[in-house]
Amino acid sequence: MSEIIWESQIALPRGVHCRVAAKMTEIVATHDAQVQLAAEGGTADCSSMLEILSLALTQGSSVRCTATGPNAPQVAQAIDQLLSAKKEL
Amino acid sequence: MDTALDKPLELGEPETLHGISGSPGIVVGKVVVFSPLAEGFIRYQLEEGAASKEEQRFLSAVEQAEQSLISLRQQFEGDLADTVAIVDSHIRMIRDRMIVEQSLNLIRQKQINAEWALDLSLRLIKKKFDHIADDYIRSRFADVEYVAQLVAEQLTGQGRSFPAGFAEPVIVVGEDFSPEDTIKMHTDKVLGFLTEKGGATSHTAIVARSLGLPAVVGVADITQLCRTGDTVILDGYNGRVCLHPTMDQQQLHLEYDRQHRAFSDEMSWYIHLASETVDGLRMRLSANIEIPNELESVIYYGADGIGLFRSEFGYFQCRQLPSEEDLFTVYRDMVAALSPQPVTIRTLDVGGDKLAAHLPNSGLHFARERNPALGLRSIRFSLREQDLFITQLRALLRASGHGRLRILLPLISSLNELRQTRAVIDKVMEQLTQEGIPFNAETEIGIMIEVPSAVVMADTLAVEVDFFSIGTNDLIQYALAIDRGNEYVASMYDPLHPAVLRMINQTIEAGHRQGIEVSLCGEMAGDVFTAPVLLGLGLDELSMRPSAIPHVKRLLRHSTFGRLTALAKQLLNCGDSSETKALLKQYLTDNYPDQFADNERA
Repeated sequence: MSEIIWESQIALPRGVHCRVAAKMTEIVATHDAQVQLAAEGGTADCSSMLEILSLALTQGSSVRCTATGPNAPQVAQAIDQLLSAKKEL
Repeated sequence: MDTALDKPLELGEPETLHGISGSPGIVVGKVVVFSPLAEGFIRYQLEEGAASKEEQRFLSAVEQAEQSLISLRQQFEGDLADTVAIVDSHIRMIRDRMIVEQSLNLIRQKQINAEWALDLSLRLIKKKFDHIADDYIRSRFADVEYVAQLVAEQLTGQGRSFPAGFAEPVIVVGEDFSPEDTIKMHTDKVLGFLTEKGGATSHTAIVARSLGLPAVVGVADITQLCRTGDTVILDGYNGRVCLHPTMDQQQLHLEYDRQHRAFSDEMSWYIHLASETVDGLRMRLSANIEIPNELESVIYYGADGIGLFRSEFGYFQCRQLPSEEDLFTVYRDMVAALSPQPVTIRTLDVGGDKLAAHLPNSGLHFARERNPALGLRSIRFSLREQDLFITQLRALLRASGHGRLRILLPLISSLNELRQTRAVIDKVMEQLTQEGIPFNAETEIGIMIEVPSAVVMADTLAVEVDFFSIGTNDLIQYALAIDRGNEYVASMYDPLHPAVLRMINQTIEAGHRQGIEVSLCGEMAGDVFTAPVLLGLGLDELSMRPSAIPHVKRLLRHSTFGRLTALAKQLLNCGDSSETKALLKQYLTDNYPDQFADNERA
């Protein structure tokens, strides 16, 4: 089982809002992996969009992510791509 | 059931809050607060061993709520990408562990009911969100609240959490109570109603008046200001609430109530007298009722029949739609009990969304209405869901042979709509004839005049119906563009607006030219302040809540028709309601000094 740790910078203009959070939970749910997030606002499990939202990830903030599970690499890539996108989802 | 009522009282400072008088009467009692989360929400500890059942109940509520979102989503599929995205995120959110797991844990650990656990979860989530500096993300809490509300609706929809198990009668406090909520409560355990929202003609107020229970509505933040178990004085005469009253205050208020009731006793003299003016002009004073149980008070208060039976209640009492047989029994008993006096039954007057839960094929048209007052409701709904309508018509016609039954069609807005409806009625009559089922083929069929277009076209409509019934509650709302349930504009809802009076007059004249009867059945019929105007306009029947009948009859019996007509003529020429009110007040103090001299109304 692999574990990947990385740090993402939020580039999304309106930060991680509902739709982004929903997308993150979807990625985790469909890839057989777990992702933990740690930011200034606390920690969150990526399976819960409310936990993600409550981290209040606004544009410019950074989040430390830990992906575990068989598909960790793909999930890590997908999530990082989502968070660092410059265009609104 | 172990409710918070058993907890010791917390003593606070006496404090008086002001609202709007919804229904008269004074009571002192303990309150039960229905949290804004959902009407019908209440906290209680579970019995031992009941937790896993409660968890199941919670999970199935989540599932049903999720299903309702999914079917909502299907309606939007294809277009409205933004809407679909929002619904999608709600679907994801409803299964979120902060809601579901957290609530399940709370149910188990704290042994509390699902509604309470859900509310606690919501508070915990809110705490987290409150710390968020970003406005946009913080405001997403509204979505969380929305999905929690959906789950809560499913939970309370099972009708288990209504105060069926109170050991003592209570005052119920909530944001607002829908008629369905009220019917689910055991009203013999309710002393009075206290709500945050709504004006004098909100549903809570109307239902409270028909039950003869005091109500104060529109008290800001009341669900936060008092807690289950607090003692309050509810003063429905003046629209006041006293929190944490002293013993002296309680005594004083009860004495005040006693005096008011003594006045009501005098009223009872009028119950057995005829409804006529000093110079012998008769007018029918009849009753508006919501539920068949009210028949008793219809007879008690000496009504000259039923001017409006709102037939919707039969449809909300149980989880299933009533059968033709159920409806027939209710209608027949009522008509027979009051025969030969007329019983006017209004056909189903609701929006489709309200009945959606009962309907097997609730298709597209039950999406959330953007503008319910202007939406698919009332006769429009009946014409669309014809099976439902036909069942009701069959029951009505079958009952028509047992006394004098009049069928009243609500919300008619055009001749075409009326003709369509009559075609359905004709079809039903044909069916019954073929089946050899007896009914009165001459059953009177009338329409509500409550849409401004019907007022304008009253002369043509009058040719094709047997009577008019002016529904002022809705007519005023539509004519003045005022939502009577909206606390910000409710004060502009004005029965004495000259436009309203002229519309009523126009309808009466149009009806009488065709020789048909014209009744009026809004709240203003039962208000002793506005009734004289209506009496003067020459209506054939005023229909009101039963307990108002003796008051209006007393007024009528102390009037001469000549004076009333003169007053009405004067008011019709006013330009503004400040003028109509001033004139009316003058008339009342001049003509009924004992009743109005020191009364500072208007």
